[in-house]
Amino acid sequence: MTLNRRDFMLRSGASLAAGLTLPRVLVRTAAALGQSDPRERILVLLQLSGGNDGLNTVVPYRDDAYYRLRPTLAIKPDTALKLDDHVGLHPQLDGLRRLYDDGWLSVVQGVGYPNPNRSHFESMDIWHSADPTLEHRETGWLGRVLEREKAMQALHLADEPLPLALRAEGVDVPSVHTIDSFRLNADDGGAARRAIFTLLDRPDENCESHAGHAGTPPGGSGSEADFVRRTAAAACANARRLEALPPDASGSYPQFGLARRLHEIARLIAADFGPRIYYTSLGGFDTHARQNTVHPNLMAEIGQSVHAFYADLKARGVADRVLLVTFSEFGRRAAENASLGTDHGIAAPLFAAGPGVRGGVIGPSPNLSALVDGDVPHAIDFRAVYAAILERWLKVSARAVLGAGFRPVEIL
Amino acid sequence: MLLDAYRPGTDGPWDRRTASHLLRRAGFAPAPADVDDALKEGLARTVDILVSNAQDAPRHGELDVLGERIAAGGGGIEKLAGWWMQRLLHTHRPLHARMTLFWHNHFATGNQKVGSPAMMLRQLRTLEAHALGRFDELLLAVSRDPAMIVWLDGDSNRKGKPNENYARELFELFSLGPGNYSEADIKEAARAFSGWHQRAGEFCFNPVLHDDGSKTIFGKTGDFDGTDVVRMSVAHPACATFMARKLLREFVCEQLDAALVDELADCLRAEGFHVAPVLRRLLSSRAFFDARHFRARIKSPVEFCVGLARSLEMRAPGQALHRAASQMGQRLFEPPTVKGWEGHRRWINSSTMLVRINTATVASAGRGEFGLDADAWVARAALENGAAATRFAIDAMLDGAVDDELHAALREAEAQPPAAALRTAVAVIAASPDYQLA
Amino acid sequence: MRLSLNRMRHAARSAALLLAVAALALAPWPATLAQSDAASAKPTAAPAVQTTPPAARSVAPAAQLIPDNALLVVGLRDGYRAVDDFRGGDLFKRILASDAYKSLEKQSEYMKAKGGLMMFAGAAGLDPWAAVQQVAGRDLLLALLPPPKEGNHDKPDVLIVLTPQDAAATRSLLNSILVMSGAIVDGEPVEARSRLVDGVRGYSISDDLYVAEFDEHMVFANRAKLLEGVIRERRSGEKKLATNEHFTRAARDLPREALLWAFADVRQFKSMTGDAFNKKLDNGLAGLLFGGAVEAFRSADYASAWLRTEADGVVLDGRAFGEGGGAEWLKTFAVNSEESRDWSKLDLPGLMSQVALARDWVGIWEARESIIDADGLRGLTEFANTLTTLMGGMDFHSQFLTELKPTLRFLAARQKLAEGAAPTPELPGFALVMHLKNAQQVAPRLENAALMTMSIINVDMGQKMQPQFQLTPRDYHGARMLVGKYPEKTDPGPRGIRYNFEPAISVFGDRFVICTSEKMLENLIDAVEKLPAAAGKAGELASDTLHVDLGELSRLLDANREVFIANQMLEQDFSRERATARVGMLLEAARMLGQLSMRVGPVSDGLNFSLRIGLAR
Repeated sequence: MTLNRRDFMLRSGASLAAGLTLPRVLVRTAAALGQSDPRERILVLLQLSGGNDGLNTVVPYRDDAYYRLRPTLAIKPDTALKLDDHVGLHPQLDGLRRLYDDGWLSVVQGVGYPNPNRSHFESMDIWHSADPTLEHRETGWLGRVLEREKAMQALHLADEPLPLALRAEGVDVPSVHTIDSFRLNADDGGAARRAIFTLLDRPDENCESHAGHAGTPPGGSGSEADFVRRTAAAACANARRLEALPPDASGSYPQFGLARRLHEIARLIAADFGPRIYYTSLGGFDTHARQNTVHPNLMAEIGQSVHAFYADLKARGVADRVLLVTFSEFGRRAAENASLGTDHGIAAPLFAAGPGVRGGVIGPSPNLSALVDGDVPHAIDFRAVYAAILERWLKVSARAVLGAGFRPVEIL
Repeated sequence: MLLDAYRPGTDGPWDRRTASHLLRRAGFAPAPADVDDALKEGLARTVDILVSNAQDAPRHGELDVLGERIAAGGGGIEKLAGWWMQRLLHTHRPLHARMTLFWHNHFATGNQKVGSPAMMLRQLRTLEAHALGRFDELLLAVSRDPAMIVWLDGDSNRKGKPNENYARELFELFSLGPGNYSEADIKEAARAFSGWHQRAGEFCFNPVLHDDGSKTIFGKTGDFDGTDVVRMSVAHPACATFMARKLLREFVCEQLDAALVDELADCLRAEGFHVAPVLRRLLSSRAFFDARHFRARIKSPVEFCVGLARSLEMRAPGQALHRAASQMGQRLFEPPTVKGWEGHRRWINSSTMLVRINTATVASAGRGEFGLDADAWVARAALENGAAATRFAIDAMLDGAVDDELHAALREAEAQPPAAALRTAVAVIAASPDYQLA
Repeated sequence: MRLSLNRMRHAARSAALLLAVAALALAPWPATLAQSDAASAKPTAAPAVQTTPPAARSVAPAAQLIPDNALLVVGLRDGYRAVDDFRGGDLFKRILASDAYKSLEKQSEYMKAKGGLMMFAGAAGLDPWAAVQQVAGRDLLLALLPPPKEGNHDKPDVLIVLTPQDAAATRSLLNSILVMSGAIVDGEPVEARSRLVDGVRGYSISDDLYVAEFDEHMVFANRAKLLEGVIRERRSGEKKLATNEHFTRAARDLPREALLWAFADVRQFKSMTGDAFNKKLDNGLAGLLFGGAVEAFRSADYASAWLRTEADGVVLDGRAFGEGGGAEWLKTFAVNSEESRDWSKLDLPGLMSQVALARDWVGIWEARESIIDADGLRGLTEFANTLTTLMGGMDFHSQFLTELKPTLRFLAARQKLAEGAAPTPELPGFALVMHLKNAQQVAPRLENAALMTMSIINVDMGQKMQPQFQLTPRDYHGARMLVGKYPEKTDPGPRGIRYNFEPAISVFGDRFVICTSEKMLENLIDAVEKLPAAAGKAGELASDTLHVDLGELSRLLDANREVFIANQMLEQDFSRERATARVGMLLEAARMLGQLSMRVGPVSDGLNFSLRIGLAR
């Protein structure tokens, strides 16, 4: 079993001196003490691209100003899924509502940063690099985590290129569309595939032993050739392990793209594939016009997919190891515009889901009678959310990653 | 001296292995016929041809003229990248092509922000025009390139409100390397570039927004503008060393020998930063042909895909090559940041390695768009059986040298009929660790 | 902003594409075929259909050998003579003389195929054409049968019956095949490869090809047991295709001069493929436009088709019919034609194609849930909502669809574009014609919708820093038009895309027209004025028609030749020379075609279909 994680580590090539991987038995013992071992904890980050309309996601159904400012778009009070006396969820977020009722959802309101930036490109960079001044845009907060924790791995599962959040010096996160990218395809009827496995696969060996393997690499300097050899072995190991995954029957997921990706993540988690940070995204939130034809579908996609995800994880017995957090680069303006949509705003709520969260609604509910320049101002700095994730979930120094201290938000 | 000429016969052989090494490093993996030609011409003449300014092949030319139309049509940057890859497949000037790729990485400009295939093409044409020419001219041309101006916020750089982005990257990434300039130099250089804007994809100098006051850069004072800054950067002692390092990492190996760096830097200065003669010197040198450097550098995705297709004269639409290279981590026209692609070991991780393996099997199967014509090779090289086909593949792709493990893996192929054996052998060799090294 | 615009464009594009490729989607189905009722008036634009019924037996002499559970039967009649006629005919000469053929000859695939054929024919001592003729024979039948229940078979069985014209020559061809495959050595059958069954000798040519010759037929099968069964049962008339009442009924419809014909047991197909056959459509718009036809086909029991050649073209007719008859679906699919004018006589300059669909729009909309699946319904709802909003709140279903008369027309014509840059690629102009019951009342709403659409497009263009449309109303020959034009001084842009697109709408008479080019709309208004009255009878069921002027289409393709060549170079890695040859070959083949017309229409017990392709003069 430890072989899984170690093999997967190889692909970054960052260092062979493997991090401290505890023997499995110790890991289990810690788990038996009733708390999921930090080394087993997994973070799933769900990026909502385009600027999710927070006011229609976590709805201030009691606020008259809300209905005045959004005559067409406002969610009617009787359809909102009430969480408390101030806010309720969008009617399509029933899946999240059920998680909330089980205590598996924290709703953090008013998350943003000072000197708001309304450019998609720049605001997303701010969230990714955790630097509102935009002076240090070369690395992302998760990238920096991976840089410090050499043993920790991540996987990016989406159609877009690798986000800044996962980038750092010497850090290499694989970015795939589906886990099928880890499969070895050889459609020629077998001979090539067999030969390639014969050549590359090292099923029983420990990685270090490759350095002195028999046979002289033709003219190559030992280190480059060996590096490639080791990585190829890891690639084959992944392919082999993926094929060994039992055909997946558990979990009935809805027919959404996000659901498919979360399903794959659930499979990988259950199979101990290696990564502890999974990053995926959902786009289409930039609803400048006719928001009601688009936003409800996105809410449905999130609500149903995340609920199915946790139902699946629970069935596989790994739910308590997984924390899922959503975020978006900004919210949207309080008033609807002339095209029945909304324009770029600033602060917005985000969700943290999983058995490990405290549950409940945190942060001040939006007060639309006290807008600042047409927007709900931010109340919680997003880096406080990151601090909570880093300190309390991943057990990594938040100060080192964020560059400054932030009091963690009480979600965990 | 490390850069003294390598004398075939005295310092070492001029055989298939050595010639392949040169052609691989100075271009892409050679087809058997290319190696034959190189052996016939001899080392000096081969290098001469590589650095020369001769016109490219007609097949390249007829593809070349489609570029502007593609950039203007609604096809998107993907189509343009596919077109570039396809030209690489058919070029008879591989060193020029490699240097263009080198400059593309050096001045890494990304369409993610520029958002215009036409402007990216224009920058590509600029890089091509100066690829083997004088570095100072290239640096000036790039400073005026509209895509670069958009990429590094040149349009925001104006008198009174200078934007330092371009000046910083110019010093840090394009000419001197970190530590060879001060923040003050950057600030002043930014002022010098103010007003260097672009409009609708054309360079446009805006004198009103240009700060023509006195500036102090590298200890010198004057009312410098961008042209002066470029001149001063190239004249800076650190520039030759910085560029020598980069060239050595590209053509020789990642670990640098200080003495070699210095020698190459001197050569650059002596040749006035004219790339062609410097490369001629480097590619004919003893240092270049040092046996330790053979099969010691990890191929970039573009080198891998284009090399595989060229070495076995495969039919390969540019789009297919571009898709494969993208999945391996190198999307032409879209480098991840202004630092470009790190390259070397960074190209290889467990998922990109799998893409290389999968690309190898698809290409060798010969069906679909990207493919090896095994039957044609069997006829052409008179391969009578599986063993002959396997031998042929080993010679063509690995210069005939194969280790025990690979040999064992190929045993099953030898028993197949020649066309099938060739396909299997090509797939296995292309997936092998040794083939990932140039 | 961008989202709704994209969706509208997408919807419009989907609609255009669907209409334009309707023929292509339907044509390959061997069983979606129809025959117009002998009683109905002949459609003027569609081909006439022969209805002289020959005796069933002469349809297919071998029909008494084929088991009656055949899924699909395809027959070639008098192939021997047809090949002869073809070789001596005009078309053949034209093909041989064409540049397209000359470059085809140089293609490696062609040379390989030709070489193979010559080898095959030579082994039998025949020249290649003669070999082809022998294979075509007097009658050639191919039947697909359901896979046998025993064993692990998932592919259908295949039976081929050849009734030779020249028995001796065909026998010698068969002999050489048997020798080549090793079933006969030194003139003697090889024991392991041959068996005597009921006095008939059968051979195995390969693992999945068996053959036997008896009576006046040569029978090939993919399984030994199948062939054995056919041999043993050859005298029995029971449970054979010839006695299948639906086959005989279909055979009655078959004209004597049909060259190629097909018969399909749709019911069996359905029971074998199960759910897949009845899967709902996942595209809302497709469901709305073609759902009725699809359902009519699905509820059919049998289908038949036949192909005839005429002096200057080929005609394919077919029908789907059945006891249940798809009567339900006929209600929503079939409507009475309410045409007042004969649009087949439309004289529009540059007209390339005309598609007319007649539907009970409201009926189909209300029945949509049974045709379209959840995804498609979602898309359709969005589409409807968007249109409702654009039309200023006029409800798509209850106020717009109810306003539409049954016929919807879609036209494509080559357009003359403004002076200056010629765009590449050059696109034709498109027009969508709807007929409204209360045109004058609805017109303002529709104009409003057009205005809103254009202003949304303008905002989008503005964000991209591209010039925006100016909307100008004007009068043209009594009709009111609204035209979107770019301002005079606009830079044509890198590929002159704007010249391809100049939206124009008009309401005149009972017609509402949306067009992509002002000039085309003007021409259309004029041409419609000149249309004669409709020829058909009132109360007649309307059919869908498609008419394409392939000559005009090929001229358009030719104008875009450079684009195709560049695409071939890039997508296939061809040299310019090879790409040019290939494109030239395709364009020349296209030039040889003249007109294509197709008609699909309901009849009391099914669906009729007719397709005619004529060659250019």
